[in-house]
Amino acid sequence: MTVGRRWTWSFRARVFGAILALGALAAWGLMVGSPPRWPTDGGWALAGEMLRAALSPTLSPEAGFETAGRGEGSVLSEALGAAQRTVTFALAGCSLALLWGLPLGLMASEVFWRLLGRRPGTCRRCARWLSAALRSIHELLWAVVLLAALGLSNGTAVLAMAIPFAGIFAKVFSELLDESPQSATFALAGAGAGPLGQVCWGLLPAALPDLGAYAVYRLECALRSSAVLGFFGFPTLGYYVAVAFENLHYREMWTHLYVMFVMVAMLEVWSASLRRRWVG
Amino acid sequence: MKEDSRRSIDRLWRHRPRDTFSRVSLLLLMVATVFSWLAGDLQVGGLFETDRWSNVRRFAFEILPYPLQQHGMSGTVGQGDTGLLPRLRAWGVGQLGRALEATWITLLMSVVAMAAAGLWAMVGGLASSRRVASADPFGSSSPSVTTGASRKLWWIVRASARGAALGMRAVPEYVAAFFFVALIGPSAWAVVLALAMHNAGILSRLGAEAVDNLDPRRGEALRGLGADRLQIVWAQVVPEVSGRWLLYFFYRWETCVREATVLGMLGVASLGYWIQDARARQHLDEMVFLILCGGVLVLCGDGLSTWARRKLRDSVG
Repeated sequence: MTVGRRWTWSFRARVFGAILALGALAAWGLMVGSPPRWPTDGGWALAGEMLRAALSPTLSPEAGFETAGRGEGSVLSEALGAAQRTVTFALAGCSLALLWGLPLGLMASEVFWRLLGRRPGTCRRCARWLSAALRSIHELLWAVVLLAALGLSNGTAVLAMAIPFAGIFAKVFSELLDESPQSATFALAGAGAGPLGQVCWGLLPAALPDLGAYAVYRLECALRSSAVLGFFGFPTLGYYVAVAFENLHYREMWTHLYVMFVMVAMLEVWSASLRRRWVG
Repeated sequence: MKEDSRRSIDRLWRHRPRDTFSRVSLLLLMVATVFSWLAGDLQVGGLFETDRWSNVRRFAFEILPYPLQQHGMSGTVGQGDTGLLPRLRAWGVGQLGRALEATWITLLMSVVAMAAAGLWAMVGGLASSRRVASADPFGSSSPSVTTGASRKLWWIVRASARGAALGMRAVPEYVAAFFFVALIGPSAWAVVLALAMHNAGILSRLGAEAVDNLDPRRGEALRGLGADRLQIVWAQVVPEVSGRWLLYFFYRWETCVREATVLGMLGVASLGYWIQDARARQHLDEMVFLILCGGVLVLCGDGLSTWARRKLRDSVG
């Protein structure tokens, strides 16, 4: 009984209650503006068609005026080409983000400034704010901005992914660096190594498995983002999904979605086994 | 002496831990990355054409608030009736009103979706836990206590809870949103349902793992004293695991705020919708302003979630 009473009045119980109350309030607030709708008959029919199409994805374009010029079996080749570009964009975006995220992460960490023998002052605060600003805007919104500024070019998609990812890398890397074992840096300092030597041979190697594991995980996210960026007209899988959806070609849509699921699942298995090896 | 140390360094180097799988993987990754930059799909050169930079200049001009643009073009203060500052203020007030409403709706959507997902995950997480949802909860694992039928029943409960969670999180949120938009038309509830479904799947799985990772001895002790399943859950499992659950909840909520902003682009009157709308009308000043509002919302969400997670970590018991 004492267990129960302590729990009832603890901080966590109040947070639970607050979440539920706020959820109910927010639902009520949302209902004022947009009353919940029950699916109409048309809605059921459309959704049913969409689900049925999941069982019969197609390799040949479905009939429609916009299928002119698309041959038999071209859906799969479209999907595979788009999958290859999806991977290309993800790798390029992730590598660019890593290039900027690692230095920014170092500057945003406490241990880096300790090794340099300075107080983590304005520079660290600037790095942290910069990384927060970069990652506070979703990659799709960066894509919207960059599309307006630079126009539709595949490099735009890579930049749109690289900017928020660099911010996320900086934040996570700085935390990982601060939490990594720092005994090697003390040993190096005792042996007379300079600050740079301590960073390169003490700090980074000790944190490398964690950093690598996170980078590989982030590559998974990049693959998904790169697919979704297709909604804005970049030639990745999302483009074909959106086009098929808008033309009500649900069977084509599912072909593209299945290619995407397989691709993401393969990368996930691979990256999970890598991460298990590196961080256990 | 010097020779000695060199030899021992050599020996250390030769015997360093090596892992073929990791090496091959890294090599593959590097080759693929270099290939992706060089293959030409990216049109990197396209970013440096001259007309792009004139485009960027135009963009930098057009994201200025509209009264400022007018001012810059006409070069005169005021166009007969009012000065620049009142017009700027009118612009700001007009923008801010709509942006605040859209931001508010986005926030509401994320909160509703996460509360629903959390509720589902509490039940789903317990139902897919190996220890709680078994014929002999926290039992001594001696098969004599349970009957075959009840074991089968609880296996079905667990498998269906896990299967449901797997299915829900395997469907990406935007695909789910497509589906719900087809079902009930473009409405905030389509996005809420999509986000709630995806996050319920993720939270169920994380929640079940957290329950199974608890130290089982306390539950077993209560079991030994004759407590039944619900009593153990209420007195031991929920109080102990609640901290973990809330950590996961806030971690997912952060992501959910972002997604709610973006999913509005499917035609729901949240921030994303107005961003898309301003983009379609080529009103870049409004677009950038709304995007910045989204950024502020996300930063606030991050801050709140970080604060709550720290408090939760510090509050033991």
